[in-house]
Amino acid sequence: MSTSKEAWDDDRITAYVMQELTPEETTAFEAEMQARPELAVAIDQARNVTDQLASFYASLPVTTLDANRREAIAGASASTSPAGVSSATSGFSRNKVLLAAVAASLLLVIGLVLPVMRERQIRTAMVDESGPAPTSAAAISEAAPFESADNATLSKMSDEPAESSTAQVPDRDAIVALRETEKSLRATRKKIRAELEVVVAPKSVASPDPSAGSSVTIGLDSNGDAPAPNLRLPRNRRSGMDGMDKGMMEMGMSSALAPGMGMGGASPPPLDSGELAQLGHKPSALPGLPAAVSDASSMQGETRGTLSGGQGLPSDTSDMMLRVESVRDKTSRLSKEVEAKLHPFGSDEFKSEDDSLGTGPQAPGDKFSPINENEFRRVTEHPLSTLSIDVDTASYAKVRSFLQGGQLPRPDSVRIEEMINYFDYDYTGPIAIDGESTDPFAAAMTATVCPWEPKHRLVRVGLQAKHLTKQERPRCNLVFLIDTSGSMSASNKLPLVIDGMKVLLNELREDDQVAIVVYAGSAGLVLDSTPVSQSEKILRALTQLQAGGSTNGGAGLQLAYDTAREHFLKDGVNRIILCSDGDFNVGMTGTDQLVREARTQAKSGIDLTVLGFGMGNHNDAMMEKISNDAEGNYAFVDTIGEARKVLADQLTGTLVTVAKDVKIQIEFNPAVVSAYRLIGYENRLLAKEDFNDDTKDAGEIGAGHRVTAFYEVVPAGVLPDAVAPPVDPLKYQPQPQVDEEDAKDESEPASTEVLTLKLRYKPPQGDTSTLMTRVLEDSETPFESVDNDFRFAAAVAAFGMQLRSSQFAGSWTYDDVLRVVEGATGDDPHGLRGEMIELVKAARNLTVRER
Amino acid sequence: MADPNDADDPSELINRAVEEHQRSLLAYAGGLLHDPVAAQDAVQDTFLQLCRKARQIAASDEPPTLAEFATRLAPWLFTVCRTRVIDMQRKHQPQAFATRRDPDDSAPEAEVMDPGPTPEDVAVASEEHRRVAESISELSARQREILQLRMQAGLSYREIAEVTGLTTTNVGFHLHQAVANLRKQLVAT
Repeated sequence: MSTSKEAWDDDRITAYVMQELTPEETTAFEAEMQARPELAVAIDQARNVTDQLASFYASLPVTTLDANRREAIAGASASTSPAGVSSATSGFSRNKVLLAAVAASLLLVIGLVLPVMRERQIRTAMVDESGPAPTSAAAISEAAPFESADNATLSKMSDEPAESSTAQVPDRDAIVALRETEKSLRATRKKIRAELEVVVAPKSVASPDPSAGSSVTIGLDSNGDAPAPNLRLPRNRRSGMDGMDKGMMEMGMSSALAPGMGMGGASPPPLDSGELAQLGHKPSALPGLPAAVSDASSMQGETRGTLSGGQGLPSDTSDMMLRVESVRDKTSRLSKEVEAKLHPFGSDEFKSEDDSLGTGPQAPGDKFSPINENEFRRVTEHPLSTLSIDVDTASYAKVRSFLQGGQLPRPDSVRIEEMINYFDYDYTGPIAIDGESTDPFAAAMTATVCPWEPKHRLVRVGLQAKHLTKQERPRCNLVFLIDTSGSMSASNKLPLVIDGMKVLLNELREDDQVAIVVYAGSAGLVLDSTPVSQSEKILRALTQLQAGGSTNGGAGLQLAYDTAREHFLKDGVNRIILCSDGDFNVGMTGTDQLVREARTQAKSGIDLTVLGFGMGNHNDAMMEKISNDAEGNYAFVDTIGEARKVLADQLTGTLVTVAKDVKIQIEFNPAVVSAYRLIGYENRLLAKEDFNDDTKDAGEIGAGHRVTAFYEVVPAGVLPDAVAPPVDPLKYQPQPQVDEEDAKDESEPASTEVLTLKLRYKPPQGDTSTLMTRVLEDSETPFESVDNDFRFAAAVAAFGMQLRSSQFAGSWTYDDVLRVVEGATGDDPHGLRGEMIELVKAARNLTVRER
Repeated sequence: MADPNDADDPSELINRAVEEHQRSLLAYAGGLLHDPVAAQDAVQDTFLQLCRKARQIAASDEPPTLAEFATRLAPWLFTVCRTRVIDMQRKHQPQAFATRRDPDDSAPEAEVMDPGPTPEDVAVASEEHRRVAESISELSARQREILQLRMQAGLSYREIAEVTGLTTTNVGFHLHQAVANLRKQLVAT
């Protein structure tokens, strides 16, 4: 049956039988069936197969969950309280006064550690619910691993100002509740402190850290010296508590809310008592945590008067905790306003473990370093502007995600230079490529009237690196370091990584090498270095990747570097490609350690590319630091289109560095320019001495990369309002200005130069830099007559300033940005500029609504 | 949300999910693990994770709502279950990250080891079913897994893609390959 064999190559057959074709496809396929009888035969056979399969699977013995497991699940589903909390609570009853004090102090710690603890607590719950009666010892031992978390991490967490999510709808009820509890908190603060002093002093127990250890022990002591959790307190002891004032009750409540407020794991303790604060910073207080949580929850029960006899967990404590939980979650999304009221610590952001697919761009976990915009600088005082180039583009993708998600991006997520550099511009590359080793890149400058401030000039500095074809570029030894932790399971993370890598595989040469290292709780080599010619094997390894577990970025990075070194290509490209959402949540979370490692490795010839995936808890700050300090590059991938751009269209640029440590220094001529401002590149500024210092690292530029920087230049005789007042002339210094001669002899032709651009770069494998110099003459070309690319890029810069609500945005609004962008889209082969139009519109609409 | 109780109370969703999916999940996990008790473990863990997830969604004002989540519950459960199974398999064959595999070892760490069902699992089946079981056992691991997800759990191509991390097209391809292979065994030509 040769015909049917051929017909069987069509996988629509199975899809048709399984009714997976769309109506259109079905119609088309049925029409085809009419024409090709062998297709109909094949379908009959396929149906025969699936019928047999259905019958077979239906015949298999059906099993259901064991009764006790069923019960465990029902238990977990009914007590919809935070699992660790509820389980640790059951069977507990406590001395309220002591508990209030202990809870109050220990809960401070929760704010610091809860995010770390959370997952573990839930696991504890699983154990508890299926296993024997919960014991506090179990809870503590579950928590214990975190005790060993290094002090640095913890203290870092507590020292860091918490960050708050902005632009969230404030929950009025929650605000009121919080304010009230805040009040009562204050009211009872003194009392608690007194209690603590009384309690702590006589009972301090042998412990490596007296202040922290003792308070934990006290919590157990209050149970009557036996740490057994099921201990039932005699009624009289409890009734002694009846006189406890309401404020103390509320204390329990507010304490329970505290973790919500401190969800960021980074909020300083809400009490200012030195002693309590100190406790909050001591990692050794950790083992007491679960107990403290349970204290809080039993307090909840008592406040509502439902706990009878203090025996066991009242049935609706869990219900209560659910509410507390929900309040807490709401609390964690309160607006900045409330945040500021309750946390006068300059809090910034919460970190939640929400890994749902719907995680919005304003996801609580996303972290950005603050950006302080460059200001106008007087040429007389700062004749030199020095910076390192930056070819990263992540910020634009980030901003796009925000806007497409219907939110304005946070100002600190807008890095203007990355937005400008996201787009392709038609710059002329270095000439004479055939064999002749010319400069690795070309530099050009253009000046025009500044569109948003007509009295100023806008100067564009453009670099274009040479292009390399697939065959020209050196062989690649790539090690993919893929984060397969649980947080990567979202469809815009790991699946996108996999799809992106498939795109990339098509772009690689057959003699390139690819290895895959995954890291989750532990790291593993999924695929040792394999030539791309065996792409089937690589694909197979790829498609098997699964997300699960927590992240230990450090071990993975180490393994990836080891793998890369083993297969090191002497004259080739050796590169680690780190695909992560940046949420390194195990072990040394320390960016520093990772960065240090990456930097050392870069020196030995193994470079790093960081690809950021997804939105939830995307640690932008850390990714940026890893790629900047380790001289790598960094892109943010949120869609398959973006993956294609980074991994296919710009692959050689991503992989092959044509020059490294590229520094720009511009010397302005004070005779022509009074002040200037560099737009963007805030985190790329260098000291002027660094320019000639070859030991100072700077950015690298890949094949085909373009770099654009804009200076807003103020002509002599005009001074911007924003410029800082001049300092008085120095009394004791001689006054040889750097450009004195130029400035004096205005009749000389040289004096019409606006600036001199100096570039320094090193070859990818070299240590000595080459100098390049370009000079710019003043030009009053109207903005309207400069090329499309210039106008477009300027509009992107202006867009960035609008998004940052920059004081330097000048007379422009979103409408001006839109007008220029629409007139400067040019060919736009990938529709990127067209997309930008939509983003500007979105931003404009959002801004109108907010104001 | 139409029903506020539903929004605030994930337990209803969980109970329904257990009723509806425990059998197919157990069959799936059992097929992958060849160990009924381990399968029970995996499925229990899956539902416990659902409890956590549902709670998280119920407590959050952000999308997805519980109702939205319920619409794509099945692939979510199978994805979680699959991850769990792979974790368990990993634990079963501990591999320190420092130890390297032989480069020619084609089985990557994250692979589902041996998805079933195999003939042993269905010793009591009728003659016809035994024939089917035998044919299935000759399929590749991936084909078997996808077949199971389709025929036993009733997931759509798209959902299977979500669970396995393959593309939808790829799922269609594998399924068709499976059916085509089975045809040779099961359909007299």
